[in-house]
Amino acid sequence: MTTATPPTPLTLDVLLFASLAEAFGCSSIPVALEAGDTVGRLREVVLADPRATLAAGQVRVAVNHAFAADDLALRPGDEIALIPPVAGG
Amino acid sequence: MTPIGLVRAPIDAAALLAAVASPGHGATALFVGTVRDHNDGRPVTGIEYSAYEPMAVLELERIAGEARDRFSVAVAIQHRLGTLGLGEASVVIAVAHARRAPALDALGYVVEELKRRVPIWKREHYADGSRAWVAATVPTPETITEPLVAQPEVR
Repeated sequence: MTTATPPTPLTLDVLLFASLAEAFGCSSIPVALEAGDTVGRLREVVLADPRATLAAGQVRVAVNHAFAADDLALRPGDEIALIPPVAGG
Repeated sequence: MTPIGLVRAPIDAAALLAAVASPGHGATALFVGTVRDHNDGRPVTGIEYSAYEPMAVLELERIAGEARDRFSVAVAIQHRLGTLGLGEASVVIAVAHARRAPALDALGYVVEELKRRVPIWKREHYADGSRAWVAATVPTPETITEPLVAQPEVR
């Protein structure tokens, strides 16, 4: 029988913008994850919040100022932002 | 003037033209995006622009770099933030090349990629006093990696 290692908690601050910031009433939120959790997991957790007004397909995640793939594992110190539909120009 | 960047004061299109000028260029293409007085049938009185600023600057620089690589053009891009009135320029893009075709193709590429990828948002102000976020484009992996403007076929 193996002893499961308890997951290492990883809490990350996530930046919010535009309609998402307005929906949450703040420009960043702490998100409780576990070490090894991915971008896709982070988006699931944030968008499961009842304040979230957008669907997963409408929100991209940026890590350290670049769009990130869903399978990227997050690390302590990453700058993470949720990017709702953009409207520059 | 920074050739690529975000600004809070009115954009000087002549300065962008000067930034891409070179004696070897025979064609300079200029795009000016301005605040329009209507959207989807509603009278608009102004637009408020905001951005995830450090990433927006990097994304503008990446797009400019792609345009240089693909089309061998000189590029200048400025996007304005803050509240703009009708007719004010929200974005100015200048692209220059020896000849017109690459200049025009590169200009189209930069405009479309900017609209797809750069984390900038706008909230329209309407004549009735209400405001709404404009959800223009969802950036997707496809739109980030695929060139929007087809490259000319080499025969």
